Formats: sequence, C-alpha cells, structure tokens
Amino acid sequence: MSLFTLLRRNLLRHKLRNALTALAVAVALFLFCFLYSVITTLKSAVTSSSADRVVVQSAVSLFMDLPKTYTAKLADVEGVESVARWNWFGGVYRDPSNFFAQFAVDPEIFLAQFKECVITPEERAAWLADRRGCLIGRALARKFGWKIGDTIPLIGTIYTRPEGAAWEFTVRGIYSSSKTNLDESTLWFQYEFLDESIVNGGVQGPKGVGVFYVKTKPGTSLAEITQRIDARFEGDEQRTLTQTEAAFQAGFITMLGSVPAFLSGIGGAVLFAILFSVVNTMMITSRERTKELGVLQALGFRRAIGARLLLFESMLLCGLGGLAGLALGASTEGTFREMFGTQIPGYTVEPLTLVIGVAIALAVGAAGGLFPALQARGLRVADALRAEA
Amino acid sequence: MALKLLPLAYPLRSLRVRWTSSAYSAIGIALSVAVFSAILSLRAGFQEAFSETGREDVAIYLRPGATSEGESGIRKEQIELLKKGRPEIATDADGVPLAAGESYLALNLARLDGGTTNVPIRGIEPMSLKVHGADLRVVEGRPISFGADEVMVGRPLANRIRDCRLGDTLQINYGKFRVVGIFDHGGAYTSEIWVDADRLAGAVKREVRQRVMAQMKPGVSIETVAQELEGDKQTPMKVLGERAYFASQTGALGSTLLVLGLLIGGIMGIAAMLGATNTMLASVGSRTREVGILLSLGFGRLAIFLSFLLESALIGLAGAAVGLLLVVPLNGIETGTTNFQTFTEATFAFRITPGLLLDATIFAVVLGLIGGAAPAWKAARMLPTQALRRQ
Repeated sequence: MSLFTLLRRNLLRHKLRNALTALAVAVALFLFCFLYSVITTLKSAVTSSSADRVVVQSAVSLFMDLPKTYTAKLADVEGVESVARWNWFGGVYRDPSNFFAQFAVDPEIFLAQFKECVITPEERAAWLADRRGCLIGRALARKFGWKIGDTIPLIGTIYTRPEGAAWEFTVRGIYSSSKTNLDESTLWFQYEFLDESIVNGGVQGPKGVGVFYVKTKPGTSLAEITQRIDARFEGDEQRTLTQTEAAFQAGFITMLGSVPAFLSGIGGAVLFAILFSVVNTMMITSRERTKELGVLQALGFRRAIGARLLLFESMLLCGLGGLAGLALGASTEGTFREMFGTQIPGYTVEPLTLVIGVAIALAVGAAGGLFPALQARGLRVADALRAEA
Repeated sequence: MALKLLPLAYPLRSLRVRWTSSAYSAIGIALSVAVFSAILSLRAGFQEAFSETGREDVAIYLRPGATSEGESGIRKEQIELLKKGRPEIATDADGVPLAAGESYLALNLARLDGGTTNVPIRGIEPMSLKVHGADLRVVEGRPISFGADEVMVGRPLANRIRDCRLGDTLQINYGKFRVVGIFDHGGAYTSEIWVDADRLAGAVKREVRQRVMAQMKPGVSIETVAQELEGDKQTPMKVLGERAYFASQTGALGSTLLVLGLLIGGIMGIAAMLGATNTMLASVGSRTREVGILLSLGFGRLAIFLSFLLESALIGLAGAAVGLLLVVPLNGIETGTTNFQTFTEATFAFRITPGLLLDATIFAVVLGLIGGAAPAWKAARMLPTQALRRQ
C-alpha cells in the first residue's frame, strides 16, 4: 500500500466530517470569488479605457452643464480629432427600481469614437435616420424583453415634458460591446432631439452639455491635451476639468469611498474564519490518529512522514473544497450578471481570480495542517502508541 | 415519567475538556457575527443619520417629476410666488413666511485621502437658518453672513475633504469662498456645505434653484398640499415632508446594505455552522461511552439531545460575545460612500444599537443550534449496549 493510498483512505474515513469541512471551504471560496469579482469588474472599466479619448466636464461639478458654445471651441484645440456631446438623461422606466443609464449623444461622432459599440450597418443607418430612435445594450434588451421597433416610454426627471408626459424612444439598434469599458446596459439617443425639445418643445431642464467626449489625433500626448483644454477655458464662462477616460472612470470608483476596502475586509474575515474551521478539523483528525502515527513510526517510517500525511490531507481537503466553490463561482457568473445588470454592469469572473482562489485554498489547507503536523512531528513513539484512539 | 434533565454543568465541563476545538468553532461563529453586525451597524448609522431625521412640520417643494434635488429646477419667480402665496406656510413674528428657495449642487472636490468625490453644497437663504436653527449647531467659528463669499461646512467633511477646514478658502468656479464655520446637524445636512444661495448663483452663473423648504403652519397636512399643487397651473410642484424626502433619498442604499449584510453574513454563517457541526460531531464521537453510561443511568433521549444542543448553543453564545467585542470598537467611526440616488457623498458612522446586539446574538445562537442539531440527534439515538461496548 503506497502512502498515497493511505492518504486517500484517510480522507474517506470520516466522510461526513471531511465533507463538512470541504463544504465550508467551498462556501468561503465562493464568497471570495464573488467579492473579488465585484472589485475587478468595477476596476475593469478603468483598465480597459481607451487611450485616445479624454472627457471634459465642469470643474465645479459633474452635474453642472457646460455652455453649448464650448463644442466649437473644443474642436479648435490643437490635437482634437472629434468632439461628442453627452447628456445624462436620468429617465424612469415605469418604476425607479428599473434604473438604467441613458445618454443623449451626437450619434455619428459617438459611433466613430466608440468602435467598441458593435452594431450592424443596417442598425446604424436606421438609428441615424430616426431622430427619436435609440440604441440599447444587449443586456438591457434581454432584461426588459425589448426588440427592434419597440417604443420605450421614459418619464423625465431632469428633462421634464409639459404635464409630466413620457418621452418615447423607438429601438433602432441593439449593440453589443467588444470591451469592458462600455457596458451593455445603456440607452443612447440623439442629442439633437433633446436639444430641440428644450428649445421648442416646452421641455424644462439644463440647456447646456453634460460632458464632452473628445477623441484625440494619433500621436497626441494625453497629459498635454488635458492641460491645453483646461487652459483654453480658463477665464471663460465655466472652468473645465479634463481627464483621460481612465481617470474619469476611476473617479466613479473612488466615489464608492470605503466600499472596496470594506469588501476586502469581509473577504479577509471569511478566509480567517475558514482557516479556524480547517485547523479545528485537522486537530480532531490528528488527535484520533495519534496512535496510528506511532504505529507508522514503529514500522520504520520516518517521523516526518506522519506529519506530511496530515499536511497533504489538509491541503487536499481544502483544494477540493476550494475547487468546488470556485466552480460554483464561475458557473454563476451569468446569473449574477443578470441580477446586477445595471448596478455592476458586465460582472465578470476573471481567470486570475480563480487562480488566486486556488492558491488561497491551498494556503489555507497548508496553514490549517501545519499546527497538527508540527505536533505530530514532536510525538514520541512510546507516547503515541499509548494514546487512546 | 417526569423528564430528568442533565445538570447544566455537564455541557459546560465538556466544553472545557475540549476547549481548543470549542474555541476554534466559536471563533468561526464570532467572525461571522462580526461581519454580519459590521454591515448592519453601517446600515443603522446610515439610517440614523438620514431616514430617521427630518422634520414632519417642514415641507420640501420640488419640480414635478424630480426624484431628488439634483434633478429639480425651479425658477426664481416661481419661488417668490410660492413663498408669498401659499397659505400653508407658517410665518415668523413679523409676518415673513418661514420659507427659503434653496439651490443644491454636487461639488467635485478632492478627498484628503486621495481621489475626488461629490460633496453637496446647499445655497441657503436667511430663513433656512431660522427654520433649522434648533437642530443645527455651529460648533466652530460662526454662521455665514449673507452677501459675503463665505461657507460653513458640516463637521465630518472638515476631516475628509480638502479646503474644508476653518479658515480655508474653497474655490467654486471663479468664486473664492472662505470657510467661516463648522456646523453639526443630527441628520443629512451634516454631509453638506452651506453657502449664501445668491453668492453661489453668481459664482456658477446659474440662477435656477432646486427646492423650496418651508415650515408648515400647525395642523397642515402635507399630503393635502401635495395633491393641491400637483396639477397647479402656475406653480406645479411635487411636495413631500422633509422626513419622507430623506427616506426617499436613502432607501436604496439602506436596503443594499441590508441585503449585503444578510447575504454575506448568511454565507459566512453557513461556513461557521459547518465548523460547529464538526466540533460537536467530534465531541459526541469521543463521548460515546459516556452517553452509554448516561442512558443506562436512566437519562432519557430527550435529556441527552437537549444537553448536547445546549453545549452547541453555548459555543454560539461564546462566538457572539467574541464577535461583538470585535465589532464594538467600530461604533462611532465615521466613513463615507456615495449615495447613488443623489450621487453625492454621504458621511455616516457605524452604529451598534441594542437591537443589533440582540439580532447578532440570536444569529450566533441559531448558528450553534443548527450546527449542533444533527450531532445531538446522533448522540440521543445511540443504543446503550452498543455505546458502552465502544472503546
């Protein structure tokens, strides 16, 4: 009988106990996988941001609109290729709990700047041709069951129509995203439609532009152009704050304040708790095996063998439990993506997360087995043989 | 036959004999309790600061359709019409309506620990201070004087946001505002910066205000006023009580924290429970002979079941004690996150309330009980002869 057989037999000896421990590890690793994926998903919008776009907002507040005259002034700044106007719309579909993002944009420039927004040429033509048309993300279409040609009624909260009437947008295209910085849960419609509604349609709301997305010419230094733009508007009606798209996205994460740190803290506590559970199981195991370890030594096996057996058993137990938990974490990716479609758009479990998870499971196993293993090393054969089973 | 129960000392002694194993599973439960109560204390602090403050006799008037001040916009002439013309608004001794047209903007400011955040600034009128005078204390410096470029800052902001300490200068567009006072308010206003509304309008070149805040005459039903103004031709408004307004702004974050607390606490709890089951299984296993003796002495199965269950509940209780000790120091620590309903930073403190202590303790004991049920059942079902024969 090889030592490996012994290891396997040992593991199966207390099926219930070991199953419970492995299950506890599985639960913990599943939780780890979820919490860590929330953080990586939030951060992926930053890491995958485009390197040729900058965002211009008011220096006072993200919610302070900029004068429309800035559009032409921006286009004249050296290094600027194109300028798209973006306005946050903030409409409500039936109930505020159905929250999703809506923006009024310059459609042609937006599509030229965002190659990651994938639609068919037919959809593109249909959207550009319909002033009241909109483009919606794949996840959004799935969530509400919208199809091309459907009308989406939205009650304006920032831009209100007379008598509180709903805005109506016709779906002209359903986009998918080829990069994680663009989520698939947004509705885009034509800026001109919003603007003419404010000018002639009796709509109340801010008359300016929320933010400008600026695409830079190839070879332009982002650090220089952001400074150049802010300098251009110093002394003008509104001071601007120009950031790279990555910095702009990162701003939304720092807004979460202590939340990411809080999630990490919870993750740490979970793993710590599970470590105790594993140590506990392995201590119970080693206590029961004291006599056997003595027998092994008496048979001529080196003292370290018994200790190693305990260590491997613990790592194997945690490794198996961890794999089960991570498998569950990876297979529920789609479910969570639907569930948190608009809060955490594009929830993704990255392969690296799973690798880290396996490493953690093995580390917990090693740490959990270490103490009993050390105890086993210090055993004297005579004492061990005398121990009660 | 009367139920003969085992003495209480039996499970207690048993815990002592196997104290390392008992301690490990208690620590597992303790950590679950700690996480569970940390999240819920965050929620308690948040609700204390927002939903549970706000006065019943103060009404908020917003533009119809707006769900928060940030989305609202009311022209100045409409504000004057409301202030002078509405019969429900109370007046001071000189007959001036106790109402203020306030502006609201989420300023993009730098945090002292890095990054930027959105800090609400409120443009106020003299009447704002008069209505909220009793709840609002200036703890350092003095209140702003109207007509000057001055601000007063909520107390928690002074330590979190750059340029918010007494004597600092805060730049808003081209306006340079001096911080002349630090104020405290038991509720949401403590997360805000207050400034003269006219001076703010001048600095950002925007005349539109976001809300009217008014004290109601005694006996006025805000609901009736809301119905009346909903379809008004001249000044259609959405009216709600201040308390209801705060609650509407914070409901989502509060329930997110509740779901998060229950979900994460629950998942950790399951893991901890499994640990408790293991400890109890080992405890039962090594006492097989003892159980045999107890059975032959005439103790009933129920008595044995209860005794083991009690042992497990005690592990849970010990876990609760340790877990709460870990969490209690959090009480009062201030933290902040963005409330995505208003898109502004909300500052609030962890609050350990008596109700929370009770919930956490129940949570821990229940974990212990569920964890111990199967092993206790196993012990109670043993056959005396077989149990005695075991080594």
